Amino acid sequence: MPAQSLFEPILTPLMRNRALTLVISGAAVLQIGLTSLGLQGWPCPILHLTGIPCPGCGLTRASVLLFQGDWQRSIRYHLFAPLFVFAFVLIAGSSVLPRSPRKRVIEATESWERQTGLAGIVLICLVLYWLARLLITQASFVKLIQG
Amino acid sequence: MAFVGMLMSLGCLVCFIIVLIKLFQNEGALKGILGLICGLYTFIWGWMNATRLNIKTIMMAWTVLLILAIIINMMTGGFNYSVGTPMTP
Repeated sequence: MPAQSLFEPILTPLMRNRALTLVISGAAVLQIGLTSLGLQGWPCPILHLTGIPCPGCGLTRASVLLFQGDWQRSIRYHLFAPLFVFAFVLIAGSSVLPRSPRKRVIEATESWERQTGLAGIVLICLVLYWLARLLITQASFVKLIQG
Repeated sequence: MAFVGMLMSLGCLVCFIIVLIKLFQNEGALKGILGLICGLYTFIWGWMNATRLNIKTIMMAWTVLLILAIIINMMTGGFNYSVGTPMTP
């Protein structure tokens, strides 16, 4: 496993690859679209097999509620949905922007990531958040995610 | 039929774990955590690196199992998530 510091960019390497950002953006739009229509999107095998939600379970529904303006219920589904929506906007933006503004956005994002290490901190906090929900409010957490 | 759907999901989980391990090994812990949180990212990453990492067979198997799992579980009502479920008190 390559050594990786907390301040190593996570978002920026994704944003630099235009093909990857297009695929991720398309998949995210499809996932959110299907979920908002009440249709089957990307299934979580962990939840389906074990009945235990994974760290990302609820993010899509929380994002849909966020786009619908229902902040309160969005955060109840998943506290980190606003951050993931922000990351999605950055990724989607870098897939469609012309070269010059795209370069400026990527450089600004890289600088911000290297200075704050926020992307790495958010990912670690998200896992801790998941563990806390699982250990402290497991029954209501599972019931909420399973619908 | 539901049992078959569960088997498909188990196959998907196995493929996910294999690709997730590759993700951890090649991209580091933080990207690995991102892959754990968002299985869709792991799936996309797997396909983008399938040839380089020689996991094309696993990715094809994962794709087929995923499609079958979705179809079978939808037929049997295995996936029944919904947006807007009333909050538990």
